[in-house]
Amino acid sequence: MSRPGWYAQPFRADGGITADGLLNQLGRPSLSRLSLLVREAAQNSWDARLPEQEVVRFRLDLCTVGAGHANEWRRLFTSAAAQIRDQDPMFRQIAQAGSIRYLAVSDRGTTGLGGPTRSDSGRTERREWLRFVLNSGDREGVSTGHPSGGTFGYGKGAFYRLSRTGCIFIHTRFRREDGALESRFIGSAIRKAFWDGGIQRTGRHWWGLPEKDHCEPLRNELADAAAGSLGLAGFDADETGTTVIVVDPDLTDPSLPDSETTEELTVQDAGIHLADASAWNLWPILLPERRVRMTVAVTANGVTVPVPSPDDDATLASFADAYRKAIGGQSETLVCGNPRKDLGSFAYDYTYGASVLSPAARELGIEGAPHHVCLLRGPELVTRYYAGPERSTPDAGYAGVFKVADDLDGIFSQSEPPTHDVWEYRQLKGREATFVRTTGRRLKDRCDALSGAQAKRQVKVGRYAMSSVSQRLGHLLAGPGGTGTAVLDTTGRAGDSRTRAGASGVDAGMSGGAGPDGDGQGGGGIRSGRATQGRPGGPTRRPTLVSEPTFDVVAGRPVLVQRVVVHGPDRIQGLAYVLTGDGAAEDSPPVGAAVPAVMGWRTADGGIVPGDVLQHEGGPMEVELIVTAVADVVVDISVVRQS
Amino acid sequence: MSLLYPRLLPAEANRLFEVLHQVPSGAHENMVAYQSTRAVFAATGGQRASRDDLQRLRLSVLAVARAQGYPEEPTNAQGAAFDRAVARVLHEQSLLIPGEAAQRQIWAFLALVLLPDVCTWRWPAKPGKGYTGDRFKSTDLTRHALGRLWTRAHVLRDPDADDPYHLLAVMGEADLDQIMARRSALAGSPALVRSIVRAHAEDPRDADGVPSRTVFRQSLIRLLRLTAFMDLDAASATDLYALVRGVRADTRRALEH
Repeated sequence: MSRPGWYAQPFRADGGITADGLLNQLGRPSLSRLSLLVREAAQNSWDARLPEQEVVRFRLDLCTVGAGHANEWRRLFTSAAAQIRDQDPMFRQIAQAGSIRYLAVSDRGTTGLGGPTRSDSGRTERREWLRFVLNSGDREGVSTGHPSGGTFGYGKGAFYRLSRTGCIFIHTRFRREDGALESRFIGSAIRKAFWDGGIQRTGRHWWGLPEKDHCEPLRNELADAAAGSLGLAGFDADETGTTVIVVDPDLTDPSLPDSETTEELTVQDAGIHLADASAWNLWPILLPERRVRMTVAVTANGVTVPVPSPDDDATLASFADAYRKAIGGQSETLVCGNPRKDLGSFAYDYTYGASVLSPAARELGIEGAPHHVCLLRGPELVTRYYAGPERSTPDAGYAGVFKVADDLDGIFSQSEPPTHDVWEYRQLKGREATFVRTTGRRLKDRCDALSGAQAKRQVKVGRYAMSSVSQRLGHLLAGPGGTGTAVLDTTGRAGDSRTRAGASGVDAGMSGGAGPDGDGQGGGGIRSGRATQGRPGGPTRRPTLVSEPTFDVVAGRPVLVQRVVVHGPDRIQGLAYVLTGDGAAEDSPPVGAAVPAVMGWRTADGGIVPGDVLQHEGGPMEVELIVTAVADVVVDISVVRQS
Repeated sequence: MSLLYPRLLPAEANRLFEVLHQVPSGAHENMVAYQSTRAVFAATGGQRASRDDLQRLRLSVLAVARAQGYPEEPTNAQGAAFDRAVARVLHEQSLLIPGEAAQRQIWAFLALVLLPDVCTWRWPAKPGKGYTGDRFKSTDLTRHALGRLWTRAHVLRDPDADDPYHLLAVMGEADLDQIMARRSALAGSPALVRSIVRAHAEDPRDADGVPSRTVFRQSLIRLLRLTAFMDLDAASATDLYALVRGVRADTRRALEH
């Protein structure tokens, strides 16, 4: 057996691909290297989960090599610099660097990289090693029916791209067919093609046990010892899985445009970016209620970096809600009309005040209030966020989820480029292209409706109360008599103790107010008041306001909804004022500024009675008072009884 | 160091206010005194103003009045110029601390005992109605002949500027009154008032038939909407100024369309 060393791949008689040609297969992705690595690595790990395994543990550890192991690293790269006679000074620089950084990407509860270690060893069942370490674009043995993310096997390019030296180490353990565990350790580098004396080399290198025309990995004790000497965490008991070490990761700040003088992120900031990227790209498979799920842990120099989750991020929570609706049957099915086909399920959640700041989310197009639909396919990793129009209020947004129907998964998977981040119907033909194209249209329609963009375009319809018409036509219908919501002529009863709508209603609002005071960040506050006393000694109790008003959207416009209980036959009027800093109702609004207005009343059946007065006949009932929402003001809502 | 001023007892203030009406106009100089048997000092908090202190203050104010035509009846412009100058004089020379300046009886003493001649000159009796009580007895501090000037100077003083009192000249009586008297929710925050006045000074144009005064008044209404839920005392001067300018720009846009 030979001693461990570097092996440089020569060009063969029948040609070969240069190493940088290999990397270009990924195309030029729009995401940063860090985000791309998270997506691709997590997808590989997710696809490699063991059949009976419920939790795939995925870790990203950004480390600096400690003093105890630095010598071993230097020795390795000094030998690389000596053995590989290309012009690239990177290996020498690492060998001489004061500190060496690496990113360890590991998965446990996965199959590990099994199978033969020569690519010419004939047909075999297991090909993970071949696919990940040796070959490129190897789809042999990948069943197309299985909803799998890593359809292309190009994901590994992301590892090499992140490393400034194009160098990674792979430490894996898997269960052999005979039931025994086997560990393997190998180094792999993709650099530029070069001339080595008279021989041209492709630029691909492996560190392991070089043979005549390929390189064998270190196995079992040797492999674990090699990993240990470099200070890498090994495997527990009978764990299987893979750890990929990205040497000297490029931590250029992904939020800055490419230029000569890009800033480096600190290790902590890079850790935060990795954690955020994990959350925003993987959240559907991280949800704790899933039977089969992934967990992500991120550390930066040994310090755990929390990964945002629906528990602590309002926007993710809304997406998760929409996801639960989408898979839980409370969803809408988007349908293609011709040919007739269910495209997938769609659900959404309105957000209010949720705002996204993370640079990792910005790469995916989300910034500020979300106005996006998360597109999911079989593997349920985020394909991308489809951006719809924004809603009219900057704080309001919507978070949707669209999940492709299972039987269309194959088609949508074919429409994806190697980076799996878009559905492109131009890559397809015929009906298949129609499905993908129609999905895009349906999503646009849904987003237009959600954002209110459609409502704005619609022809303005005059809002006339239909009550007087219905009153006149009412006799044509059999049944109990009534006046509908017509405003009755009350002039003859002026002697009644009518509560003036203005100041008294507001005063009551102030004393009973329980709104969120001191909301300084432009949110605007709400306070709800008590209904004021009307008709003393009347037959029914005065109407009561229930709980605090909430935000909602009616006809594409943001509104405030106040629940009101009417205790019997009654005639009530809704009032809405702006409260000023003086603590009083605003007497005249600023020129050109919006004022809250009562739109109408929503009854239990969902119908809306327009106008501020509600005439109610019959027993106790809960209605909702709908008031148009105005940005950046405190609104006082009250209900008074009309004589 | 701070000075304590005599506090004229309310009954005495009422009596002297009646006396004002009996003295023919132009003869109020005869009422001038530097002390009153019916005045008291706060027990602690500073040094009591001596006769010399009071005399010096009187002479300073009198000099300002003479510069504006005293004892001839003042024009509106002269009255306004007097107010601006006296605001500065009072704030610089009186050595009053805010807690002391908030005492109405101190202002009653200054107007009815120390400076009755100047105050009746500035606020002459209205035909048929006589003198206005608020201007002398200080029943309303925001309307007192002298008290409102001190408050104005105190609120508008900008210690970082070359001339700390430059903001006093920006606005007229009526506009300042919009803030100081009518919008007490805004006037309670001096830094906010300074920002408002500074923004007004910076944006004086009367564009497209929209007078700057209208922009100013409308922007106050908009600010009042915000103060309902924003605590502007917590904002830095820079943030405050940015906020006020933003509101003013919004107002102008709304008005010019």
